[in-house]
Parts: sequence; C-alpha cells; structure tokens
Amino acid sequence: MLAVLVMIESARLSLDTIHSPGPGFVPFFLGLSLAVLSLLSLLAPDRQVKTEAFWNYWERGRNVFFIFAGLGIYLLLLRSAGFFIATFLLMIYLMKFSGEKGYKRAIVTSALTMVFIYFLFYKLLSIPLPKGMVGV
Amino acid sequence: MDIFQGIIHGFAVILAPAKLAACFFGVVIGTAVGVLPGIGPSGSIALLLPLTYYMDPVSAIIMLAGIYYGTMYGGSTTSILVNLPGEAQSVVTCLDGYQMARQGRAGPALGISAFGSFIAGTFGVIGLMVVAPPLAEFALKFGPAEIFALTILAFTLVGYLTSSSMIKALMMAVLGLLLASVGQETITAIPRFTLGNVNLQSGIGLVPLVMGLFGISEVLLALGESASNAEPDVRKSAPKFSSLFPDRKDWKDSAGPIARGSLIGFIIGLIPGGTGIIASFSSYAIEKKLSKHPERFGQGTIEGVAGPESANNAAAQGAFIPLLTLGIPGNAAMALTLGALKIHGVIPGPLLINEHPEVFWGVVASMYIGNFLLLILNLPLIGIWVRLLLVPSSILYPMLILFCIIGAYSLNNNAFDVGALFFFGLLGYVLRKQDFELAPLILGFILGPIMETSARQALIMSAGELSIFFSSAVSTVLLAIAFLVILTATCSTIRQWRLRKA
Repeated sequence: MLAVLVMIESARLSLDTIHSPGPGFVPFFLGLSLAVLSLLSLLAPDRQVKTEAFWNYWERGRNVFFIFAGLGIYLLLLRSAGFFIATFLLMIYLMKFSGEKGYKRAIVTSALTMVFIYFLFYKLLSIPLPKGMVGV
Repeated sequence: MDIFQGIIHGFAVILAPAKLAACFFGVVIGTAVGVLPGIGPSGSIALLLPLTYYMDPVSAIIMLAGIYYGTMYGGSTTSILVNLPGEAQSVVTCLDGYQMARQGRAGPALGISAFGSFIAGTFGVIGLMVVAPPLAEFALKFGPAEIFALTILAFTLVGYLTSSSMIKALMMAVLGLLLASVGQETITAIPRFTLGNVNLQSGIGLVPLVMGLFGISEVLLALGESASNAEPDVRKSAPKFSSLFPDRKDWKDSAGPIARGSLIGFIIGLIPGGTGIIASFSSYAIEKKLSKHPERFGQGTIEGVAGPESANNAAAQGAFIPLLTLGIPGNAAMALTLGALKIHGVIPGPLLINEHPEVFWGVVASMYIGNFLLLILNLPLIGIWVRLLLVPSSILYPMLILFCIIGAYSLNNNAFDVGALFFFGLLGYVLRKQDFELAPLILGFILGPIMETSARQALIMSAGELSIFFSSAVSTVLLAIAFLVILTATCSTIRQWRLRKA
C-alpha cells in the first residue's frame, strides 16, 4: 500500500527518463521495488502465519499500547503544561508500566530526575526546554 | 604522512585531557551497555548522539568508537557469571564460559576473555593502521560510478549477512532509501513527500529516526515481553581479583584460538554486514572443528571462550576500515557513527586521512588506549559491573525514554522531532516484532543520498549512457559481486522453498 502511494506521488513529481532522471524517478522505482518485494514476501512459503487469537495478541501487546498512548498524551501536554510538569507525570506513568509497584518511589525518583535535568540540561547546557502555560 | 608519522600525530591528538576523557567515558559506557541486556551498541550510540553536539568531531568519534568496542568487552561478563548474554555476540560465550563458572573457574574464564579481547583488539587496531591508508589511496581513484557500485554491494552484503531473509533485508533497505528521499531534492530543490509540512522540508532528522528505531523500540520490546520474576543472584557471583589470571595451561590452550579468532574477526569486520555475532559464531565453529576434543565444547572448555571473545573484538576494530576509508558503514553502529561525523561536517571516505588526519589517527591512537583502559576496567572492577544488573528496569527504561526525548528535542528545539521520535519508535517496534532487521534500513537512510547523487552524477558525466557503470574494472567487479550475492541468496531461498514443499 505504501509502495503504491509512493509511486503515485513520484509520478506526480515528474519521472523524465533513465538517461536524465527527474526528481520522482528514483522514488518511483524504489516504490516499485518495495511493491515487488512485498508480494514476494507474502508468497514465500516459509512465512509464518500468526494465527493466535486476538486476545493473546492483546495480552502481549497491551503494555506497549498503553505506553504509546501515554507518549501520545505527553506530546499534547508538552505544549500546554510545559516540559517539567509533562515529563514528571510521564515518568511516573512509565515507571508504573515498567513494573514499579508503589507510587512513593516513582514520585520521588521522578522528582529527583526533574531536578537533575533542570540543572544539567536547562542551566548547564542551556537547552531551552518548552515552557507551558504556567511558565514552567 | 606515513603510518609511523600518522600514529605519532594520533597520540599527540589523543593525549589532550578532553580526548582522553571522551575515550574513557566511551569505554565505560560501552562496558556498561555490554553488561546490561536489552540495550546494544547501536541503541547506546543513538542515545548518546546528541551529546556529541557539544564535542569536537575527534572527541565525538573517539567516544562513539569507545562505546562500540567497549560493548564487546562488557558482554562476556554476565555471559560467564550468570549465563545472561549482555549482547548478541556474547551468546556463544555463555556455552562454555558459564560452564567454567559452574566448575569454579569463573576467574580464568573472565581473565582469558579480557586478555583475549585486549590482544585481538590491539591486533585489529594494527590491522586498521596498516590496511586503511593504502585502501584510502586506492579509493581516491573512485568516481561516481564506482561509488554507486560500492553502495549497491554494501546493501547486498549487509542484507545477505545480517538477515535470515534477503527479501526482508532488501525491503528494509528500500524503505530506508525512501525515508532518505523525504525533503528537498538535491538537484532541483523540489520538495518530495513532505505532505505540506514545513518541518519535513530539510528531510527526516537522523537523530529522531535512529533514537526512535533503536532506543525507543528496544525499550518497548523489553517492556512488552513478560519479565521473569527471578533476578540473577549477582551479589556473590563476582570472583576475587587474584583468581582472574589464567595459568600456564590456560594460556597454552588459548593461544591458538586467540590468534585465529583475531584474524577471523578482523576479516569478517572488514566486510560490510560482517558483525561481531558472525565473527564469534564463526570462531566457535572453527575452534570446535580444529580441536582434538570437540566433545568438550559446551562443557566448559577455555578455547570456547578465548576464540569467540577475540573474534568479536577484532571485528569491532575491522568494522572501522570501510567506514573511515570508503565512507561505507558495515553495520548499524557504524552507520550511526557516520551520521555523527556528518553532523560535525566531517565526511568519512578516501579523503578523510588527508583532509582530517587528526580524526583518523586520533581514533586509531584512542583505540590503543581504549583497549588498555578496558583491560583495567574489566578485571578489577568486575564486581561493580555485575551490580549494574541490580538497577530495576522500572527505573532504567523510563530513564532511557527520557534521554531519547531530550536528545530529540534538543536538536532543533522543536516538539515535531519528539513526535517523529515516537513515530519511529513505534515503527521500529512493529518491524522488529515481524523479524525485520533494522541495519539495512539505517544503511539505506544514510547511504541513500550518496547513492542517488553518485548515480545521477555518473549519468550526467556519461550524457545518460548506462554503460558508465560498467566502464571501469572496479565498478564492474563490485556490481558482479553484488549480483553473485543476490544470485546465491535467491538459489538458497528457492532450494529452501522446494524442501519445504516436499
């Protein structure tokens, strides 16, 4: 599917000829190669078809799904709440999904990490980390 | 500048405090990364790439090189003591190393691993010093057609050697090439695949891409698997310093494997796609074949530790040769190192030794010092390295993600790069779960612009005639080898298909 989209967009950019390739020439043939390779990969007899029940898949991928959901919300919070507040909350969230049992250690570790980052990256290395609406 | 003058110049460069500090920092991080399972040299180089912004190019590459060959040392420690390979290339060391530890011979196993790594590493550096300058001299004669042929060969070799499926490897290489084409096209400046987004005008950033593909995806893979509740008991497992020195018999038994492992590893490291994993497995197989008592392999024989550990270290040094002399990275870690050099405006290739002798000779000299530092770090401080395994994953993995976020953001102070980081993290996770290797993708991304530019330059020079790619012996031979590799892989795949159908 990606290959077909690439080929359509490349053709729009102008292919010209192999002797004088245009900007879309190389991506067009890369897209074509990807399409051919994908078909070969699907036809290969050693392809292992994963026939597990959806529930088993969900059991294994659940952690990753929730971590990614957290990262997505973090990205939205980054601009509104600012780096330190958003990252403090993200660290606690990630620690819980990484097996941390209680909240006390997660909160303390996150707070100490924010202090460390403030002094190392913000003050010493002068990286302008995003400030939120509260100016933090 | 001849070799002797070059190495003197290198030592003059490296003996500055900042360079020594970069070397020390690199080998310490490398050893730590080698000990900790889950994070490999590519992931750690990706994570520390932003740190190199604040360094000069020489210090940056010294540090990254130290990380790379440092992981080869660290990986054997946990393989031997707790049967837990820190890195893929240390898997083989588990077979005999752990058995030796169970027999109360952990000290000699660790000792011969460290000494073998030092000897092989030093051999590799000497090989780098001797082979690289004449190879660079030869490569100066390369024109666009030869460079294009070389990139094609690099892709085919990496795909053939690093992946169980050539088709999947080529798919990744093509995907990498496509990702590299995002942004303004170099000759006409027409934007390609930017989706109208101004942040993509200059293309996809290398840092969010590699940190996402290697750093974030590696953490997700580790967190997504069900973790075992049993922590390895590392508190009592580190042997005393006095027991770490092999005796005369150990040295006699290990001399041959170390020598053979050094040579095998160096040659494998030279070839694009030749990794420490291939080197260590090849060495183990050869030692078992040559041994008078092959039945002892897997039961705790020192040859099964000495050979593979030497091979993977020699391969680590050899891998720098195609990178520094031809500008062709042979694996993902070298591709990331190439990216780091490009960020600093240093283009590795045939002109590197002449235009930036301080970079080339500084790296070579740093490897001598780095190997020596690693020997010191890995023997007396073994107890400390093993205790790294006690850091809870609930703290380690979120920290790694945080590191990635700061690294990606600090590139352009743009939250878009953080979004790109997460996107590539998800992509890397999905690809790895489907058994796609990421090394060809990174290679495609890094070499894509070189390949396209050299192909178009060649066609401009020849007024559009394709025969230019076969007009010189070098490009013809390179393309012929690439064709043979593809043919071999295709025949092997068809044979396997037929066997499965039968």
